[in-house]
Parts: sequence; C-alpha cells; structure tokens
Amino acid sequence: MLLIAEHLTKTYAHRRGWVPAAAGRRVHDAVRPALADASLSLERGESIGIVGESGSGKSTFARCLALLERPDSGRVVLDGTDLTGLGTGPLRRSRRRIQVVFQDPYSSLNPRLTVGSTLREVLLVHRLVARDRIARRVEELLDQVGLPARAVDRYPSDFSGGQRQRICIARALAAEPEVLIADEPVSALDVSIQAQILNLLADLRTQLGLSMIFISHDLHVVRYIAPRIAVMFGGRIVEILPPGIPLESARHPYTQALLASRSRLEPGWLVGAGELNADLSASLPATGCPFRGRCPHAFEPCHEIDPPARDIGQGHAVACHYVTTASRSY
Amino acid sequence: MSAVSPVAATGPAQRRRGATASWTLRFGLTGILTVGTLATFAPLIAPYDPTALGLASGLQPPSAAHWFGTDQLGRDILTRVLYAARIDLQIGTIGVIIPLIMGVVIGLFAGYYAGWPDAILGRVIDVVTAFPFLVLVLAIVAMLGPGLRNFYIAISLVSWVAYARIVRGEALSVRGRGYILAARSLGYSDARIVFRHLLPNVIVPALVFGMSDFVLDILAGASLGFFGLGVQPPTPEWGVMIAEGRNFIITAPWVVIFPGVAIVVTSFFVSLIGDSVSDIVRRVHAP
Amino acid sequence: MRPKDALRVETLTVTFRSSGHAVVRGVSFEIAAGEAFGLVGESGSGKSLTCRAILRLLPRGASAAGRVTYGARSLLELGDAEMQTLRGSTIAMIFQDPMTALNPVLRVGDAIAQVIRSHEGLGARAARTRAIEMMERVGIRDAARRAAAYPHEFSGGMRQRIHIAMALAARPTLLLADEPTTALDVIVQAEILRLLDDLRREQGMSLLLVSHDFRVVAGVCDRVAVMYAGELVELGPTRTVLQRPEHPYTIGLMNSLPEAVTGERLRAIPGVPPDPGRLPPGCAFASRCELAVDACSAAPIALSQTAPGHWSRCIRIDRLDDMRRGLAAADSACV
Repeated sequence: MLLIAEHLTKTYAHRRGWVPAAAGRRVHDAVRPALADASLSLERGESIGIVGESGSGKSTFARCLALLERPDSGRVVLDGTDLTGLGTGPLRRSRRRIQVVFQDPYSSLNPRLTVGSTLREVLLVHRLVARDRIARRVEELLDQVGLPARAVDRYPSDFSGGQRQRICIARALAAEPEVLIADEPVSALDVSIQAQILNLLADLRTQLGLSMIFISHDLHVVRYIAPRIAVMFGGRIVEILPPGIPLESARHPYTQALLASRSRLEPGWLVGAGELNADLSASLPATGCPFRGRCPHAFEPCHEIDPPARDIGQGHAVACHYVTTASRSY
Repeated sequence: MSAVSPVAATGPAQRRRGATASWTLRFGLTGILTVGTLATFAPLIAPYDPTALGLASGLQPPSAAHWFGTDQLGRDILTRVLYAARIDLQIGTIGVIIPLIMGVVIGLFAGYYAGWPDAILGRVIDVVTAFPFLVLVLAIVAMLGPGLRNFYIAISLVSWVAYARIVRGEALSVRGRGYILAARSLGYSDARIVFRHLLPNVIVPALVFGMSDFVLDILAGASLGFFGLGVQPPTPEWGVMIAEGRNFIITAPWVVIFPGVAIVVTSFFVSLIGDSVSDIVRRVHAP
Repeated sequence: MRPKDALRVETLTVTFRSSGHAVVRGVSFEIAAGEAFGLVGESGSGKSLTCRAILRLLPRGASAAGRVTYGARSLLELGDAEMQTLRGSTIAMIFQDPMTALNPVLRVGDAIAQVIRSHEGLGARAARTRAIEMMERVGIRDAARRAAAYPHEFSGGMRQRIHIAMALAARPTLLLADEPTTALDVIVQAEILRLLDDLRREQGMSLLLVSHDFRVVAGVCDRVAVMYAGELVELGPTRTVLQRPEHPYTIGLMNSLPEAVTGERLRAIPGVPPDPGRLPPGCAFASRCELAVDACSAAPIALSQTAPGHWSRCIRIDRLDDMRRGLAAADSACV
C-alpha cells in the first residue's frame, strides 16, 4: 500500500477574537468540520477519483493528503512513513513525493520566472539530476507534456490556459513524485482543451506508473481517469464506487442526485434534474448525516448519527442509514 | 502526445522592445547619467577650487569667468554646484538603499508569515508614520549631532518603515497566490520562497517609491542643511548653498537659483525613471 | 404586457480599435419572440462580445458594426438615453458572476426594488412587495426576512437567483444570459437552468443563452448556434444539431466530452484556438480540422443550408459521416 490516509479531520474554526477568550468565553463556534474522518488507501500505480461539489471537503482533503495543511487528527502514511508526524525539515524533503496540480493555471505559475527556470529549480533543489544533465531533463519534461523545447525561455504569460496547465504538470513531474494529486485540473479550461489535458494525464499515468488522485465535480470526467471513485459531501466520504460498478448503480442519495442533475448532450435532460430545490444557503446540520436536510429518504437515525461507511458488496461502500438498512433487509 | 501549436505570437522580446522605446525612461536615464558623470568628474572639469575664498570680490553675477557667478565668500558657484552633486547624489542613493533593504526584508517576512510578526510590524509602522518624516529625522540628528553620517543613520531609522509597509501589503496579498502554494508543495524552504518567489513579485512598488524617496532625501538633506544640521561648511551641498545664500535672494539671486535648479533637475530625472519603471514592469509581466 | 418582438442580428462585427482585429465577424441570427436560443463557443470565440454588443455594453476600445434590431428598433443606432431605458426594462442581461450586478452594500430586497422603481415607477412599498414576490419566485425561501440580508450572506447559487430576480423584476421580453451557471456546482446549475426555463415559459420571454458547455445549451434551448473564432460555423434546431452535427468543430466539441467516449481515449481537438490577428481568409478551423483541404482556408466560406433551418459553414460536409461515426451523443439523441 503506497498511500494511506486514516481518519483525517480538519475544522476551520471561526475565532471570535481575543476579547471573548480573555473573558473566558468559548473561543470557537461549534462548526461542522470541513473534513471529518476521511480515510483512503492507494496502491502503487492505482488511481482514485474524488468527486464533490464546493464545500464537500475535497480540496481540504487534497491539501491534507499533500500535507499542505496539517489535519487536526488522523495520519497520512506514505510508503510506511508517517508524514503527519514529521518535523518541518524532513517533511519539506518528503513533499517532493506527493505533488499537486492545482485548479487555476493562471495563478499557479510565478509570472517572473521563465518556464525553464521554474522547472530547473525543482531539479536543483531536490538534486534530482546532475548539473550537466539539467538542460536535457528540462527538454524531456517539456516533451512529455507536449510543449515545444523553445518554451524554456518563455514566460507563463505567453501561454494559454491549457498550455500553462501542461507547464504545471511538467513541474509536478520534475519532482519525480510517487503520488500525483490533480485538484480540478481542467475545470478552468475550455472543453476542447480539457480533453487534451485529460488524455495527457491518462497517458502519463500509464507511462510513468503514477499513482493518481483525481479530484473533480464531474463524475464522468473522474471515471475516465480514475475508475475507483470516492464521493464526498459535507466533509465526509459518502460513497465509494469500485472500478467494475457502473455509475448508474450508485446508491447514496447524494450521488444519485448528482447523476440525475448532470448536464447531458440530450435535449430534455433538465427534466428530472435538480429535484432537490433545497434552500441552499442553509448551513449543514450540526449533528447526524450532513445530507439529511436535502435527502428525500431521511428518517430518525439520520438526525442523530453520522452514518458510517459500510461495504455493500464488491468493494462498493455507502455511508447512509437508509441504504444500509434497506440492503440489510434483503 | 497531442499536437500543440507554437507559442503565442507576441513573445517577450517583442513586448520588451515596445516598452523600452519609452522616451520617459530614456530621457530620465540620460539625465541622471549626465548628472552622475558631471559629478564624478567634477574635480577634472570644475574651473576652480570649491573652497577657494575671495578669488574675486563676492557676489559677482554670472559672467564669462564665472558661469554661475560667485557666492558671498567669492567662491565659484558652478564649481560648488558640481562638487555638491557628488554629495547630493550620494545622499539620495545611500538614503534609499539602506532603508530599502531593511524595509523590504522586514516587510517580506512579516507579510509572508502574517500572524504576530505582522501584527507587531503593523504597530511599529503606525507609530513611526504618526510623526512627520522631517520632524523625526531632525530630532534624531539633533540628538546625535550634525554631519552626514548621523544624517544617514537618522534617515535609515525613519525611512525603512515606508518600504516595509509597501512590501508587507503586497506580500500579504501575494502569499496566497497559487505559485506560492505550489512552491510550498514542492518542498522549497521558506527562505527560498520568500526571496525567489515572493520578493520579485512584490518589490516593484518599493522600487518605484524609492525613486521618489531619492528626491525626498535630497530635500531632507537640504532642509537639514538649512538648519545647519546637515553637511557642515565648507563642504558644498545644494541645500546648504541655498541656506547660506538665503539672505541674498533679492540682491544676488544666482546664489540660490543655480543650486535650486540642480535639485529640481535631478529630482525630475529621477521621477521620470520611476514613472517609466512601473509602466514597463506592468506591461512585461502582466500575469 | 409588452409586445413581444423578435431579435435580429445581421452581420454583427465587433472590432478592437487598438489592434484592428475583429473578434466577432459577420455574425447573423434571429431569435423569434418567446424562443430560447443558445450560443456555444469556447474562450476567444466572440460569444460574450456578441451578447454584450446587443445591449451596447462593449468594453472600451471595442466598436460594433452591422445591424441589430429588436422589433422595430435598431439597437446599434439608438441614442444613449433610449438605450438606457431599454436596458433592464425590455432587454435584461445576467452574467457569470452575480456580483457584477449585486452591490455589496445594498440589501438584496432594496436592490431588486430599485430596479422595479426605476423602470416601472412604482412607489416604495409596492416595489418592495414585488421584490419579495420575485425572490419567492426564484426559489428563495423565507423571502420577506431574507430581503433584508446582504449579498455576502448568500451562497453562490442563491446570489445567482437574486441576480435573476433583479434582471426579471421589470419583466423584460428578452433575456441575455452570459454563462450564468459556469461558476456553479452541478446540482445548483441544474436548478438554476430549470428556473430560467420555467420563468421563460411563464413570462413568454425570449432567451439568448451563451455558454461554452454544449450540454447546458442542449437542455434549455430550442435552437443553437456554434461560434468559432468570431464566426458562426453551425446553426440549427438543437435536436437536429445534436443528432446530425454538420461541422467538424461541432463534432469535435461533442467528442471532447467524456460521455462521448466509446473507445479508450477522448477524441480531443488538437491544437489551440487561433490568434484573432492571424486568421486565414477562409475557415479559421482548418488548421485543426482532420478533413481540411487547401480550399478550406483559401477563400471565405459562406453559411449554406444543409436541411431546413440548419446551416453550416463547411465545404466538406459530404465527408462528415466518418467523423460522426462513434459519436455516442448522436446515438442517444435519436429519440
């Protein structure tokens, strides 16, 4: 097992300032954690997709996995090393092994560094390549992501969004990571460019044997890249769909709503979509299942108990009282 | 690999060519270089000794022998203006460089780490900027005693705050950008991130401010000279020349005019450079 | 009820003065009264500028030429004051970012009421009642209480609803929607599109929906036009365009979507969109088109009708069957 994340929890507390604290009042509001008890395991060479909308906790999860933020509790273990327990120095050196491609290609590159400088820096800092071989390695990387060699002397502002994302991918690859986390890497790009980048990621994954964690809000895009899918809502992983299972057999009410609301190339897909009509500004309920405010099947246990994830066969797991009760009654 | 078309047509070379055709910059640079050259070679080109007294009678208007006339002690004004350029350019340069380095470094780290280092810096900035710049400088020089060295100390102690404030503001906004997060995820050390990734992206406003600070420092030197707290006579310095000549404004205005014009002209060239620098950088590195 | 008019755009061209480049080139289409029309294109296609040109809201440095008529009025020739009265009351627009319309220091109820008062001349109380009604109609629960809230207290989807409420408050007969759901989550997007669709039918409004996502347009619009590099490359009823696309770019766009994948790879369109300053005299898509021949980029190609109401700017339509094969969408759209 290459990467294991165990029970990661992270809460962004709303501090009320030092005056109430001095007065002895509670400093943190009781808020729902941004990430609650999220666990994941990834074999070497395997890919997993994480699907969720804004507020689902997927970005927090990605940041905790990449140790860009320290989780409040839980561990991230990479190839036997507990990364969460490392001190600043060793942690910095281990960072290279988990790389991230971020959503916004426009702000992810230092506008004052040429493409070549950006890539060279990675190689130099981590001493990955002998000095005399650096130029050649940079060319290799550019070629791998489909950019011309003369991109080396250009600045990011000379490139389009799709090309900049390729540069970001090249930068991530330069670190020779074992795990690549792609956090909504194509959401900011045009549709035809998305396809190019997705193909690139799929190719790199096969060619380099990368273990990939692919995050998106689009179920179909995720399926294309990473057959095993974890669906997140309200900071929790609510369903895990293994590779063999078609998307249509998703059981969690949220996943089903997501599938039903997906836009399609068919006129009339709107019928049956967006049924929920929930008051979207209502915050998530403080106790019980985070989805119960919008769930058509909510019943008593949902209000009090956060449903644990249960395997319902063949690696398909669902965190839902309704589903697990229903399937148990078979 | 999917085919990717060649890089965009407007490459960096083209853009930079367009930018440096800026006449403002050319004019400013030429001007400052001229002043600098004249100052450097003052001993070679000045017709007289700057401190030589009473060569002719004092207060001679401009003539063939004395292009700028003579002052009340009979010294040639042209010579003194040239020699004074060395002092004033030095004041402007040192008076900017030291506070700039101090302020930028402090502002960078405060802005990058935010939290309490930034809170402390914020309070310091508030306190120092509550006082008028010249009043503080005067007070420090008054305590330490007159002279160029103490002037530099006073300027440094007061000026760095302006740079820190500028850089800290920029740093606070840039630290949240994607490429800083990317640099962290690549395992770069804080020092590397601050100096290689943060600094280049926040320094420009500080540099532009430095240009106007250059001018302010010369004026401050002149003001202190006016009070006798700056450069001590007989060393020529434009401000001191104006101060010493103030009694003769009506009767022999050339004593005051020429050093005054020198200050204005030098400041003008510097401000031209400052204007064009910010334009150029904005255009070349638009994200 | 205001009379319902048709929008006619004739050879609309938008040029940027500084570069001299035309980013919208001779675009023509019609939207009948009460019809929903979609404009699909990626960034740089000129779709947003087309939309803004109709309301004369172009950025500085851009100028429009051609003819745009709404009913009897020629919009490009109207005086500024007349155009101003038209905006909001007859023709309204909503944007991708609702904060372009929502003033952060105004309570939302007041913001909507302001629109009503300036266009319908109602008194403060009546306007407020109407504002609350609009808020309820767009799906904001507890509207009377929430009308006192500020924009930042709402989520993205709710802000977009308020934006829509403001746009429709004065009952316009034509609504221009420029990427209204692009920044929204999947489920919220579906809800907002449903809302737009319902409101449109209810008020008998015409709708111009601009999006880079074909699927969004497919769900709402009766007719659709595809734009590339400033030109319309295909135009027709949504159903027909989906079933039988008549332009390589349209097919390419549809192929780029993951649900179109029947094989192992996404069939991405190679290359990048062209620079508006370096367009060939003929088809701008030729450099990325697998069916292109020399004649394609040599001379301008006119739109030709391939079926009633279905137009295409392609001279290689006879070869399109090969490209269409394997288009999963074409199969599923054959209902």
